Order: sequence, then structure tokens, then C-alpha cells
Amino acid sequence: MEILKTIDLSKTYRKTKALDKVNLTIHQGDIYGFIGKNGAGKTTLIRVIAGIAEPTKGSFVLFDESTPMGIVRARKKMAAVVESPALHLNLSAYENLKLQCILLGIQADHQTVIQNVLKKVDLERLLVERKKKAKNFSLGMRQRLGIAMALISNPKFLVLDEPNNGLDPEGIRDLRQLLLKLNQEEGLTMLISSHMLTELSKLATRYGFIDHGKLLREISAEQLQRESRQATVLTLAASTLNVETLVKQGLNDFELNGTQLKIYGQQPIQPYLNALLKQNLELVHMNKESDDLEAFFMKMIGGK
Amino acid sequence: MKRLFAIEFARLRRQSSAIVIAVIIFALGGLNVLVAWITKVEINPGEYNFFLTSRTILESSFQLGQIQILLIGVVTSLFIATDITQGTIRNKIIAGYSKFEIYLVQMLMSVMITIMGLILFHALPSVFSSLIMFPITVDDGGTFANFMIHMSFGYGLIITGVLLTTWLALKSKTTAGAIIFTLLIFVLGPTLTTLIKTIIEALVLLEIDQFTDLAAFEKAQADINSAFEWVYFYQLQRLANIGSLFNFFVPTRINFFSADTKGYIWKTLGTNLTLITLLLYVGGKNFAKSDLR
Repeated sequence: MEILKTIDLSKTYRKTKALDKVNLTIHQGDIYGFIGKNGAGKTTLIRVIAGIAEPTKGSFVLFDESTPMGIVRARKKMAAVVESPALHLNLSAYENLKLQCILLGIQADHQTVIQNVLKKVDLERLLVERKKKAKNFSLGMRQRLGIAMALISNPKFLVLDEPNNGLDPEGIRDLRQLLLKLNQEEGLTMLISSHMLTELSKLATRYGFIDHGKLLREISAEQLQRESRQATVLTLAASTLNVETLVKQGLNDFELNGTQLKIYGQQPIQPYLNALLKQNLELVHMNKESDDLEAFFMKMIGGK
Repeated sequence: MKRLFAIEFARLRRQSSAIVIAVIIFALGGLNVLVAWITKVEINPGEYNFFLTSRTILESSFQLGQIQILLIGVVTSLFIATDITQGTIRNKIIAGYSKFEIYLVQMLMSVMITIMGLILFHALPSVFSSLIMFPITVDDGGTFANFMIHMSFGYGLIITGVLLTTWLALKSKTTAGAIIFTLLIFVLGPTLTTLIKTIIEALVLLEIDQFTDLAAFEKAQADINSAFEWVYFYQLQRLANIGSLFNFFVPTRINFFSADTKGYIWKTLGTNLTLITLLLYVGGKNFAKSDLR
């Protein structure tokens, strides 16, 4: 089942095309990693889906609803933390969550619901510090509270824009574990935009790459793995090897960087080893590696 | 919508600036009673001069009206702007409320805050002047209905002004913008409008028979002999100044006691109702199509 499908979705700010005919699909159960540089259009797309901004052209289908009123209804099944957490700064965490319960029309006992959600995001201590106002929270605490507010309604679709902002390494790990748990145990579908690609690669099951408002490609985590360029990395004792020596021997799909020689693809490494032997160069270490998400992304946008 | 109102009232209760301003507004009402009491002169035993009657106390409360209305404007603008600047308005949209619905609730909250502010302001003067110090006499009661009609008329102007500032606050999307628009609407706007209207009227009076009109105006003042007449006359002069932006058909020096003023009232009510409808409906539709921060 498709949770979200955008159809030629476009958003223009004066003369700037923030979104240019974006066609993106998120299926039930996906953890969709949305990747792009600053100003690529990630937040704009999230803002449009969340209803904060209006599209200039195109449309989208959310939980099979495509009419304006239908989408408003469908949003009851989703939750989002867009840019910074939207908190009432002069209220405590408990009061913020209480207001969210009222807003969402949660019937269950609010006290219990709040306790449970604070426990989920590791903010139980705020039940004791009940009068501490959100304006006095650290950035990380605000981020956690924002996520708690999003999770309080048990949404079916969670949209997180840079969720790791302000979190310490432990917080990032905890959040990852929480999101994975929610995805695996409750089938929660997610759209996560993040600059922390290594972290995102530990979570996402599908990726969407966006640049200058255009969706360059959608790819599953498995496909990314398959398409990632494999390389054999040789670490040499000295940096005396030069590129010309290897090129003269008809070798070209490699990268030489000081003492590190990267041999791409499945080509035989024997010719390279022969070249090293001829120059009496000692091999210190050899290992295999493949492109990570960052390298894949950089290639995709043509960056260096 | 019920849930949105619940959220807004909870938010209002916790808005410290609103509480501080509410106390100030209430105290300003009390100040009028105090001023009247201090300046009282007893002509005969139990008979006080002009400065200490129920009408003078209420009248003086309206002299401070502009400050009070400006303060109410500040509370509503801050209340609306905070929701936008803190981004909490986004929670409502993501929770599945339409922007039009959110807009209507914000506008109605502004009206409620205004009414609460007006009640707070008039609480002490009303209680002290009418019930405790100088009970309403039979003569006063004779014009009570007119008094209420004119009160509603005046407050209608204030509500239009508050709705306009709320709409501008929602459009500006910043706290500073909201405050600036409040000052423009309630301070600079009426002053400029009154000035322009006065110049136009003066030119017209020079052409026709200015002295007749002015004499009628003064006579009307001298003829006032009921507390309520006096109150609503002066109140309306004050409120007309504040609301002169929305009071297009009422001359600055109108005699509200003459029979022909009813036409002005209906025209002004019509203007205000049109403006309120436009602000609520067209403003709401426009808000629904706009991007939020």
C-alpha cells in the first residue's frame, strides 16, 4: 500500500524552484531516507506534505486521499517534526503533551499516555521536574520532546526533518533504536530527512535523492548495496608509486592517493601487485570496501 | 473546533503578558473611580457637582479608553504571533485541522479577548458608580436602551479593529510585525483618519453654514441632563476616534442625540459587518492558501 505519492509536485518561491515536478512514492513499512544538500528541497517537500506550505503545481495522495479536505483528514494518521520542534516554550513538557492530547482528541487517560511517551523518548525525569518550562530545555531535550509529541497519537506515518539535530551520540543511538523498534514492531512508516548519512544508512530501507528541487532517484537499500562500487584497497609502505607507471601497463580504473591505492570493480589485482614488485614497494595492508551512502550521494549529484 | 478553542484558552491562561495586561486594564478602571472620588465637590449635603456622578466616573473611564484598547490589541497580536513564531500553529495543521478552521478560531479568540478586556476595564467603574456610590436614578434609566445600543455600536468598532489587527498579525507572521500593525491601527490610523475627516468636514462647513452646525453641537452638549445620555455621548466621541478607520459615514462632530443619527449608525454597522465578513471569510480563504513559517 502506498502511504504517500507525489505527482509532479512543484513549489516555487518567487523565481526559485524549490520543488520541480517531484514524483516520490513511500510504501507502507518504508523507512524512507530523504537525502539532499542544504536548500535541495527536502524541507519544502515535508512542509507541503505537512500542510504548512501550499504546492504551486502538482498534487499528492496521502493514505489514498487526494482532495484538499481528504488530505486534511488523512493528516490525522500522520505526525511530523518539521525543522525545529514546535513547542509552547512557556509551558512544561507535561503541559505541552497534555495540549497535544487535547488537540488530537486522545480519549485514553492523558497522564498514562504522557508517561508512556516520555518513557519512550527517555524523558521520564521530566515527570519529576514537572514545572520546568520548555524554554529552559537543552536542544536535545527539545528534540526528544518534539518527537514525543509526534508519537503521542500512535501515528501510522511519521515525518522527521533532521531528527538528530541537537542530540548527543547516545541520544542518536537511542532514537535510532526507537525508530527501528517502531518500524519493526508497529509497522510505522517513516520519512526521514537527514544530513547524517551514515546514521541514515543504519535506518533506511529506501532512499530518495533530491537536488535543486528535482528528485534524482529513488532506490531501495538492497539496490544501493548492489550498485555501490566495490574496491580493493592496498596500503603501501611508501608513496613512491606514480600513476603513469600503472597507466603504461594498461591499468586505469584505480585511484592513487599517497600510500593508498584503490582498485575499483572486480578486475584482477595481480597486475597491480606486479607493478609494486617491480618498484620494490612493500604492501602493508589490503582490504575490500564498497561506496558508502555518502559516496553514492556525491556521485549522484556530481559532487567531489 | 471545540478542541482548538480548548487549546487556545489553555494557552491564554499561561500567557504571562496577557495576565499582566489584564491586571493593568482592571487597575485603569479602578483609577477612574479613584480620580472621580478625589476630585469630588459637594455642593449641597448629599449632592455632588459635575465631577462626581455615575456618569462622570464612567465618562472618565472612556477617556482612558484608547490606552485600554491599545493594550487589548497588543494582547491579541502577541497571542496570535506567538503561535506562529513558536511554530505551534503547525501542530494544529499536522493534527488534521484545516487552515480556515484554525484562522476562524484565532479570529474568534481575538474577539473574546477583546470582550474580556472591555468587561475587565468597565468592571470597577460600573460597580462603583452605578451600584455602590451613585445608584442609577429613574431619569438615568430613561435612556438605558439607547445607552446599550450605542455601547454595542462603539464596541463593534473596536471588535472590527481587533479583527483587522489579528488578520495583519497572521499575515505578518512575526511578533514585531503584529505589534507594529496594532500601533498603526489603534494609534496612527485613527489619528490620521480623524485628521483627514476633520479637514474635509471643515472645508464643507465653510461652504455651507458651519456656525449653525457648531451651535447645534454645543447646544446638544449643554442639553445633556441624564447620566446615560452624557456617558454614551462622550463614549461615542471617544470610540468614534478609535474606530474612525471603520466609521466611514460618521462625521467627526456628530450629535448622537438628534434623530437623524440612526442612519449613520446603520451605515456604520453595515460597513463594519461587511468588513468583518470580509476579514473572516476572504481573509480565512487567503490564509488557507498561504504558507506558514
